[in-house]
Amino acid sequence: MPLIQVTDLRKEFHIFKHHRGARGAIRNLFTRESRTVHAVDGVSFTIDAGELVGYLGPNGAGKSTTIKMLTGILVPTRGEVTVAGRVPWKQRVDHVRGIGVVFGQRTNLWWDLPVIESLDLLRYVYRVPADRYERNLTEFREMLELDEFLNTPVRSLSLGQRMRADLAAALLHDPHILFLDEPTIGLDVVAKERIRRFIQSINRERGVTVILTTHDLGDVQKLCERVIMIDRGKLLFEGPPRELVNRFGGERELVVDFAEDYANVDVDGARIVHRDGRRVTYRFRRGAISASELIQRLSAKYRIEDLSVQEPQIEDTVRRIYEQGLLREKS
Amino acid sequence: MDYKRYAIGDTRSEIKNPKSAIGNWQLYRRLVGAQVRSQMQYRASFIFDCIAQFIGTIVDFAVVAVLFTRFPSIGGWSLGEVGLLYGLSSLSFALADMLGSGFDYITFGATMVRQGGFDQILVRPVNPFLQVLASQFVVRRIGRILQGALILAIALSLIQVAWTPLKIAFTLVTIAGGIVFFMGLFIFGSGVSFWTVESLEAINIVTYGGQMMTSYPMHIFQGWLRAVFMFIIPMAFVTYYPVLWLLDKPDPLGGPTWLAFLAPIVCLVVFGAGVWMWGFGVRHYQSTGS
Repeated sequence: MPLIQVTDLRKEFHIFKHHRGARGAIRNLFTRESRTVHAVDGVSFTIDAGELVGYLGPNGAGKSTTIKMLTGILVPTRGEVTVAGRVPWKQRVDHVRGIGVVFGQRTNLWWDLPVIESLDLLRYVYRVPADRYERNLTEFREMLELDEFLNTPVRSLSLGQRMRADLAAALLHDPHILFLDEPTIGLDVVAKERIRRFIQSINRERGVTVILTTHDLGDVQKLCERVIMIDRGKLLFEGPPRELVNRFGGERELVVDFAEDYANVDVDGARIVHRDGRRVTYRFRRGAISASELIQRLSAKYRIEDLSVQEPQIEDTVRRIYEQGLLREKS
Repeated sequence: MDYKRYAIGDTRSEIKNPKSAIGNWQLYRRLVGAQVRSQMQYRASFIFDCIAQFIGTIVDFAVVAVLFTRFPSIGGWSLGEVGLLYGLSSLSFALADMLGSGFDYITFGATMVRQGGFDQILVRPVNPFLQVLASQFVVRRIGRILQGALILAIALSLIQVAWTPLKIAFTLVTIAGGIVFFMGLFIFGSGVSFWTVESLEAINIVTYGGQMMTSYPMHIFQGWLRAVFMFIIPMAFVTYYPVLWLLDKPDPLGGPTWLAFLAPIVCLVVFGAGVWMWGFGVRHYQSTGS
C-alpha cells in the first residue's frame, strides 16, 4: 500500500479578467469575465514509504499547486489524494501532525526570536514529548551544526543557516513525510552539499519519505532515486533520473587532443563543434554511434594523444525537454 | 510500513491534549509569550511607543475637554458624562486592539493572504483562528489602555452615579462587550481580506471611526446616521445604551431602558458575524490558494 496516492488530481483556477484604466475600473465592478487555468490537469502517481522523490517542472507547471494539495493547504477541483490513509484537506490537523514542510522562500520560524525559542515553541505546537524533543534536538544540533546560531534571532541568519534551522524545525516532531520546496535555492556550494547530505541521511537512517521540489538538478542527480516531471498541469515523466537522461539526453561529447596538427579532422558519425589548435570537440548521438566506435574510427585515421567522453548533463537534458517540449508530444 | 511508529501524543507528554481547552490556552499563552518577548527586544522603541500612545490619546480627549470650555454641554450631557462614554469606548477599543491585532486586516491581508503566510498556518496542527489570535499581542497598547482607564476614572469622579453592585458589574460587562464588539469587527475585516487584493481602507472607517462614534452621545447624530449605528453596525449598543442606564438617564430618542441589557448580546452577535466571515474567508483561501 503506497504511502501517497494521487489519482486523477485536478485543480482549476478562475482568473478574472482585469480591465485597465478608469473605464476599466468601472467595468471590473459589473462584468466578471474569467478564464479557467488548469493548473493541475489529471495527475496520477504513487509514492511508497521511504522514497526520495524529486518533483520537477518549469515555472508555472503546477508543482506548488500539487504540493499544496498534498499538504492540505489547497482543496482540489477533482481527483483524489490519500496520504497515509488520510485525505489531507479533510483531516487537516491529523494529517499535518505527521508531515514536515519547508518552504524555500518563507521560514517556519518566528522572525524576531532566537532559533532555540522557535524550536521550543514548535515543540508545543506539535506536542512533542520532552524526551523525544531532547533527542532530536541533540541530533540535529550535531548534524546541522546549529550551535553556531542557536541563540541568534532568525532575522539575523544567513540563508544557509536559516535553511538548516528550518529543516531542524520541520523534523522535530518526527514526521513520516517531509515536503521540501526548493531547499537549496540561493545557497553556496558548501551549504548545498551540507543540506543534501542531511536530507539523504534523514531519508536513509530515519526512513522519512522525502518529496523534493527543485530546480536544482544537482539536487536531483545526487539525491533522487525517482523523479516526477510535470508541465502545464500534466505528468510528463516518472522514473529514475538516469532514464530521463538516457531517453532524452542530447548528444554526448568527445574531446580529442590530437598528436599532430591535422588540416582535416572530420569523422563519420560525429560533427565538430569546436576546434582549438589540436583540441577538437565532437558531438555524436547516443543511438547513432557508440563512443568506442567513434574512438576507433578516429584512431584509425589520426594519431591521438588524449581524449575524454562527456555525458550530457541532466541540466541540458531537462532544458531540452522544457524548451522543445520533447515530452509533451509523447504524453 | 508501520505508521504508528510516528504517532504523536504519548501519555508521557506533559503537554495537554490539543482538543482540550486547557491545551489550547496553554498554547495561546506560549505563543503570546513569544510575541511579547520579541516586541520587548526593541526596548527603546517599545518605551517610546507606549509614551506616544498615551500622550496621543490624551490629546484626543483634551480636544473634547476644550469643546466643553466653550459649550456647557453636548446634547445635554456634561463633560463627565461624555467622559464616561469616551473612557469606556477607549478602554474597550484599546484592549480589543491589544488582543486582536493579529486580525488587523492590513497586515493580515499583506503577510498572510497576499504573501502566502497563511500556508504556514495551515501546515501546523493548531486551529488557524487561535494561531492568528496569538500572533499579535501588542503590548505597547498599554499606553492607550492606561489612557482609557485614566479618562474613565476622571469621568467617574466628575459625575454622580447611584452605584449598586449590579451597576458595577454591568460596567465591567460593558467593557467586556466593547472588547468583544471591536474584536468582532477586526475579525470580520480579516475575513474579507481573503478576497480583496487592495487593502480595505473602508474598514478603518468602521473600526477607528466606530471607536470615535461610541465616544459621544448618540443623539447628537443625525437620524440616518443613528439608524446606521443602531441597526447596521450596532455601535449604539457598545456604550450609549449601557451608559444611559448607568446614569439613569432617559433616552432622548425614546428607547426603552432594557435596550441597555441587549448590549452584551448585540456585541456577541457582531463577534459571531466576524467569526463566520473569517471561516468563510479561510474556506475561500483553501479553494483558491494565494
